[in-house]
Amino acid sequence: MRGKLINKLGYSFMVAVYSVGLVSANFIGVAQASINSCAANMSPIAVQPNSQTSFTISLTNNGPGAIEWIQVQRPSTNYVITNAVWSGSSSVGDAQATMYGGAPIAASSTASFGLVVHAGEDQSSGDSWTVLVSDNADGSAAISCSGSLTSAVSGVRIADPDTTPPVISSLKLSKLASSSLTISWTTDEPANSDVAYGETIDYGSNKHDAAFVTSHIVNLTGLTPDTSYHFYVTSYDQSGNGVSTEDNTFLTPEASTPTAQTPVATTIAISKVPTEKIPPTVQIDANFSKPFKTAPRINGTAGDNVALAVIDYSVDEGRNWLPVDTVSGLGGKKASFSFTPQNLKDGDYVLMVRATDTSGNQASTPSQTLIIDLLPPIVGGGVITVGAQVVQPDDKGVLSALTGLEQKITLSAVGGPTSIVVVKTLPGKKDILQSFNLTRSTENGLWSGTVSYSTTGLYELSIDSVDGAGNQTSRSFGLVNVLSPGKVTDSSSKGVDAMVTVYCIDPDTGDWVVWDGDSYDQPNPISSSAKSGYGIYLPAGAYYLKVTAKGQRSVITNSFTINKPEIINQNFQLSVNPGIDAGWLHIHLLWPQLVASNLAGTNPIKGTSSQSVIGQSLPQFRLQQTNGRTLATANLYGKPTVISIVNTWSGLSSGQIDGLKDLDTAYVNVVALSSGESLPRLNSFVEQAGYNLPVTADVNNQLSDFLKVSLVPATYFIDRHGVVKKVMFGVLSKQELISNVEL
Amino acid sequence: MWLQFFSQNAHFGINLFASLFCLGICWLYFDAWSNHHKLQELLKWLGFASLGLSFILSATVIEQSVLGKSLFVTTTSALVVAFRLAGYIAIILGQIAEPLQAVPKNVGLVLEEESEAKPAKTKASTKIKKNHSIMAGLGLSIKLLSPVAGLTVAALYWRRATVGLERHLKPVAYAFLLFALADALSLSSLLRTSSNPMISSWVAAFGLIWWIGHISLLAGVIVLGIWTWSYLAQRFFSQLFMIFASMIVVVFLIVSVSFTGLLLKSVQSELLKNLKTASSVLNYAISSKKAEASSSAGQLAGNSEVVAAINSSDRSKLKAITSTYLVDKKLSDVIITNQSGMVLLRAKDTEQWGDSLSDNQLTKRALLGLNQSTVTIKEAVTAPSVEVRSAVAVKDQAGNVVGSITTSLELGSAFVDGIKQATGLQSSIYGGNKLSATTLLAADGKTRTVGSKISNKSINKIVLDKGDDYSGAVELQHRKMLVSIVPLKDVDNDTVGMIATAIPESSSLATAGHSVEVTFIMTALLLVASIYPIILITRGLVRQIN
Repeated sequence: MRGKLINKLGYSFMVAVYSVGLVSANFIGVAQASINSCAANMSPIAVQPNSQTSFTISLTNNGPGAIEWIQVQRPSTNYVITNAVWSGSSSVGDAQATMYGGAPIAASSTASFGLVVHAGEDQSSGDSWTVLVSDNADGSAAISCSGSLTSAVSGVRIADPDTTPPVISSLKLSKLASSSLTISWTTDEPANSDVAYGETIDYGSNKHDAAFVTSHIVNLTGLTPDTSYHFYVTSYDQSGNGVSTEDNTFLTPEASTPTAQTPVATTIAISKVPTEKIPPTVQIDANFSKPFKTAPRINGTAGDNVALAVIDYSVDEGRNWLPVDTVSGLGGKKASFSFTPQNLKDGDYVLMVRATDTSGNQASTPSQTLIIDLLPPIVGGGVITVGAQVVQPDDKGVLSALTGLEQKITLSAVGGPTSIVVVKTLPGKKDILQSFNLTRSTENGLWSGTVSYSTTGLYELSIDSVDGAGNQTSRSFGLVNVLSPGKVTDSSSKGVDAMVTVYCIDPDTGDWVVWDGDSYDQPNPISSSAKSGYGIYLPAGAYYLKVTAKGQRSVITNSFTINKPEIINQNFQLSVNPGIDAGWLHIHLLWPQLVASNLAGTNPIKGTSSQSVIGQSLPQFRLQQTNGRTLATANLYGKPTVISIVNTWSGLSSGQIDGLKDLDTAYVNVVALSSGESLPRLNSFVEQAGYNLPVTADVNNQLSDFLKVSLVPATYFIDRHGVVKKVMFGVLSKQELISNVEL
Repeated sequence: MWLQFFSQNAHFGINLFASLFCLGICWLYFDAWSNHHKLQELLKWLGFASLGLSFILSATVIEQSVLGKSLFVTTTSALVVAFRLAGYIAIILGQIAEPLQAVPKNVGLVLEEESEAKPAKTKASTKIKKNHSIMAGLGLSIKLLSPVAGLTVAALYWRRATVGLERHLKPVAYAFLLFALADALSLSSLLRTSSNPMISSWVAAFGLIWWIGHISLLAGVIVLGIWTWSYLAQRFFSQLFMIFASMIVVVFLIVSVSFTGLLLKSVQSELLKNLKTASSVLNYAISSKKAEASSSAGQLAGNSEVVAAINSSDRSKLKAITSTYLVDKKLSDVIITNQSGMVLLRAKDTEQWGDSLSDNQLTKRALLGLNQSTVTIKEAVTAPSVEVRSAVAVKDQAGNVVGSITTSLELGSAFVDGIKQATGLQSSIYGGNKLSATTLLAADGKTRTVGSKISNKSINKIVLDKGDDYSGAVELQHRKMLVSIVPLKDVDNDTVGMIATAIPESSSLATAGHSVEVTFIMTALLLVASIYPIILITRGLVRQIN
């Protein structure tokens, strides 16, 4: 066994336990006479270096009193006393063992007791032990015993016991066929091979090879084609120390596949059955109470009772780990390390450091938040959706919503916000009426959350954001016109329970069919209660509505076409269905009443945002473009300018860029501006889509913040003097863009 | 679909019989003309011949909104109207030229039942009044003229039967009245774009009005048929001819309906087979994308400069090497890590590096030396994004793993469009049960319905929960479709999404529509062609009997 340093005390164990020689039969009871002589003999007299030995000491009380207290002292530090075997209590330290409270040794009697001692590396010929006795239980007035109390340390050194499990590496799958597979791995010491496998995590099958080898190859046969298997491998060394991998998986190919070239699946091998379970310790020396501009150098130390194997760190609360930059002392009990997290952007990072010992035991530092603060939080453009539909504002930028209908808001932000809240107020007012928390997606970095409204009216939405350094920003996100649900009433204008069914045209047959609301997470038919009414958010298309209520004549609307998603909340007044009711006979007019359709979106409440930029001049800015050039404010003077806010994550942006790219730049400056996205990301976006139009990167939302960008796409029309003249929302066609440019 | 099919065949059959009986009457008038050579008789038999031709042409007209684009429907429809109008006008002129048979003076006498009167070809010289109804219809469009002309013919026959002596002509008047009604109802197709959903439903192809019109036509055919038969049965030759002709029409009708029915069934099962094949093609296309992504990753991993750059953490070099790789290889991203799983380069965003992917299964396995590909689902704003990802180990010359390269390839609109182009079928890819990419368009006919869900519970259960294939007729997004859906599985064989190929159920009728139309045309031509042999055979038989 190589390089194994064993703690002398920690790994000792009893080979034999000697019984204590009992006191002689003539037990006297408590004697008060003092002891004046005793004799002691010790065996064995010689032990091997680095060995554990159980000594037997025979003690004779030469009287006159009874021995109530005994103490044995080692001859040198080459011996470590680890245990005393005695009928009473004992107190054992490395240098001495004290025994008391047992059966007293009466005068002229002989008794034996055991002592477990670990002999050190040093050879010696005659080391004298000391045995003290007293007839007092507290050891007072103790006398030293004479006799043969020497021992020698000589002979061949006994090797350390092997308590370290093998380390598995290079776990590989090969020769994967529909019914067979070869699993191979290596261990750092000879060990046997065992593979547990099966179709579930319970495994159920096992393949074992008892040979102690370092290169392990196990062939699995009789596998089922096209089946996912779980497996793990285990190796035990000759000392019985074992290690297993985590659960792994592989997929057998279909039977028709002759031989799969690439086996699939496995995970990193980590010790599953550590033979010692004491975790290491790890701590870092850093103060994260204040924010940093760049990630600081972090130092720390780790320790283990056996040996440290790995030290790594995580900046995402323990999800992903990286090894520390420098570490000294790995393989020993103590290690020191340091590292600097790489390329941390503005934001909060939950930092942890983890130490792993050679048995796979792990310990982590408590999570601490490292704040990188370069900018205050700045919210970029956003999108509001209902299910799969993007809510588009009217030409004034006013959004429509319906009481009780949930909308999802998604937006980008820079400056590392830790909290973003959507706040609802009355237009131009400060009093918060409602607030909605957004959460950040770890997958795409976007913030999203659900907003809903309980009362109708015109409201202003603002976005309040806070970063880890306590910087706060707030700005308007636009106006929202919350509409009331559609009501179904009878002829006396009293609400009735009704069913509203939406029909649409089947494009294949031209027939009217019931619209599939489930696909859009909305019911159809919609139950309209007398109290709450009904509402639905329809995608673009041709529709008509049918309203039915018990005892009332049904109503259908004219067919209508909507070119963008719209809220449907038309009110209906039903009349009594004329007919005959005679017992079981109900004869009523089956012909529904035809009424005109009336869309909510055609008559929204008008209003303006409290933070309108119309009439303001563009600030001075310099921004990089995907064509390598720099766009500055001065470049935009002398010609009217169209700035469209786009991004890479909203599908609508592509449509807007299509509209922009055909504008004649001889007469108008055309700017596709992305807020809060890096230039490299935009470069790949432009290249992949094959756009000729460069996209300008407003990485820190410098210009977007001035423009109060809320919903994207949004287009700003600016005159030749750099003054914002108009803002329009949604995807604009080339014709719409041209018609709004003031040449 | 089968309702539309039988409706179309009903149209075919009714028009064939209408044609047969019109030609029967044509024969009667031709017989009369051949004896006397009078103009009015000539006009009448020419008129009924034209009507017969019109009906036989009408039989071959298919409903394009259901059976798809017709070969000759524009020409045929124009000919139908032209022959119909010409026929009516000829009959009207013949009626005008034919004086009414004056009712005998019968003061003090009680007439026998006029219905028992034998048809007589008298030469009454009573002049008819000018028919103002014809003139009234002149201002209307050509489409409107047909029912007006039909009504005029009915009126003229009615006048002849009531004002004149020829009571036996009443059924003919009824028949033309029904024909005129059928013609008038056929004009309802002009209202199919009505904003009143009730009206547009009623006037739809094979809708309520369509059926009322055809029932009216059928009733007219029956009335005319009985009337015609009663006269043709008077002579052995004509009786025998009509029996032969009717039998041949019936035989042709049965054959053509059976043939087109079997054809439709065959088309439908063939379409389902094609759908399954297309799903497999789609699956293979995804496998090929995996191979493509793996090959792109492997190509980079085999580049010694990449190995050196990873070893020295030279991100500038990696950036330079991969600068055009995304576009060249049509990849959505390339991620390069070192041996510890630390990102050295994200080609999509080269400023995002330094983070760890130690928790990423693909990267983890690649760092163990295992090259593999999988399908992953990423949540986006409105719809999930389905990507093929491939990770390979980067090894140095000694074979030691020094890093990993992961390439991603999005299965988006371009991918499904390509599949549609190759197979002609609607293709969709789902992340879970949410539509990620599709060739299906929303109700507006422009936008794609990405982000919408499959609401059919049995599909979700069979494909997503059990991981089995599904095929059959279902309603998807309020459209009746024939679909074949196979599960989309990741590297661990877990179902993460679905691949669907679909075709509107009605399109099987449209696919068969061309053959149905050709069958109808051939049947009509054969019927016409068979008339002369029937005449010859009948004449031969009659001669032998005589």
